[in-house]
Amino acid sequence: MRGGITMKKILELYRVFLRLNVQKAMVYRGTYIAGVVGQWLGYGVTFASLYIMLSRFEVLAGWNRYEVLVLYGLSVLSYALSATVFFVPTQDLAMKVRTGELDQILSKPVHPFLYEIMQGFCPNYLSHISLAVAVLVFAFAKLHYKPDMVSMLYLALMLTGGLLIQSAVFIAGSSVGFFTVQDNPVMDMVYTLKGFVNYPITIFPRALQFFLTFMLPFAFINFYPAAMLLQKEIPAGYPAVLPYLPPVVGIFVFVLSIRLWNWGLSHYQGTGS
Amino acid sequence: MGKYGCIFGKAFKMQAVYRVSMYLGILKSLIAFFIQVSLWYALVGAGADNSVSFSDMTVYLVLNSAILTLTQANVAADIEASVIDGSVSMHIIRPVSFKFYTLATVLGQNAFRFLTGAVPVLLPGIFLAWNGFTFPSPVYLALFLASTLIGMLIMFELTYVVGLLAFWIQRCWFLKWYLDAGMAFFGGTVVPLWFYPQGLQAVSRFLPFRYILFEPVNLFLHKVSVQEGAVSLAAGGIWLVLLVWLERSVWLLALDKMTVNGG
Repeated sequence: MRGGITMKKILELYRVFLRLNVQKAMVYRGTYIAGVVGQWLGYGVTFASLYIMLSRFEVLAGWNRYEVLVLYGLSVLSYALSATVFFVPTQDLAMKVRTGELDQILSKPVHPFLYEIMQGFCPNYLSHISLAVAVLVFAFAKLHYKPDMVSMLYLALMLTGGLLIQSAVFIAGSSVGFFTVQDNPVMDMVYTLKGFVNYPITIFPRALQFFLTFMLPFAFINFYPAAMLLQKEIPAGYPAVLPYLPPVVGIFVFVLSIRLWNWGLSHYQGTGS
Repeated sequence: MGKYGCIFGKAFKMQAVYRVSMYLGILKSLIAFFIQVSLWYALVGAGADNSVSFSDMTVYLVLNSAILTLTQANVAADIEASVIDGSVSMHIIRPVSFKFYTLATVLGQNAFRFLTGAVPVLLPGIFLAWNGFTFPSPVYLALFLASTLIGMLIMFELTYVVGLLAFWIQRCWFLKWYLDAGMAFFGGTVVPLWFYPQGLQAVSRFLPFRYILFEPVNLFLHKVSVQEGAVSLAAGGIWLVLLVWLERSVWLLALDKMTVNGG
């Protein structure tokens, strides 16, 4: 049954759902716009604070204010791109398990994971994306960075890697909801942990640099790509190949997270509600 | 006082239901504190600005999380939910004031957040701030306590007024973003206002945000003279009076709006 659906059909379905979701957001047009502006303000303030802070202190572990903006900008951009697709499908999983809504989804003629993604497109991240792109362009311009074909290609590849890691975080985090039911405290925790890579990881103790590189590879989202682009030092003694690895790490953790999700699903019994 | 005490206790206990969330919450606050401490250690240690010591910054961070957790609850979300499902009308016919009911609930939630969010960082905070820390003199301590109280009330009034807007616009999850942005930028909760350019500092004096948290911390750390402290205390007081007046007017309008909607 599930094998029968073609890629073409999936994309077609996604387009239909996407249009529905955009229309749904536009029903409350005022709210949508007010929300976009609000999020613009929220993240704008964070960017501005970083800028003000480093205008005063000049450097943070060897990174100047524009370089720190690039670092944070890459993190926000990859997060927003990923969240556009994965935020809604992963946010409410624990709740859907409790209310039994998941049973309904199981009866659809597509794989439940695909179905969740199709109906979960979220147009609200336009604010983050536009802001992050604006900040990145501003920061690169201030750094007199001359983009050539190679570095643009590199940036695109690194963003893809960051996006895959961010998505894996969403998916793996949400699959805990199959077991916890109702409330998923892991997601909150993950947001806190991601706070580490808002700043160059070299400000933290060595053990944490190791943790963020080899255990929970958040440093690949933005730190290694930015360090490469801006020619910053990576932790002493670490292999020079690390800044090239984000896409590889991304694919690896993304596949792993989908396996985790499916494993969670296979243990799903329903709550009887 | 008895009935509000009961509401307070219930709100507190409801937060404690999810044990795992509670422990993770404590861990989360410790991690967030650690990140901030590392950040400011790197910044202050580099020495481009010597006006503030690492000890001062640590005190700032501890007080920041203490006051923020005590004022954090999202009143707007609660009011929004009860306006949408209509349960707000039940609240209004009950023999409790809607405002004090909300205040008691918020205080209950915040007390819990204070215990899990601020108390855990107190010990590492004291340890880190020890070198170079002087306890505030009695006058400053009194001013600090008074301005903290006023600051917390300002924060509650702000969120409450914003929450009342739910009567008109119904969907108002985004309003909190506006308030948080104002608080983060002009209240100095992310970067203390000490480090702001003059122009922005001047603007912040005409907004309520800096009186919630920044001015109390200034007093605790003896960063201002007693006169300056008294002036900012008065400014906070004026804001509080203004906000209470605004909140009363908005509430009367909201009641009017309810009647128009009929039952």
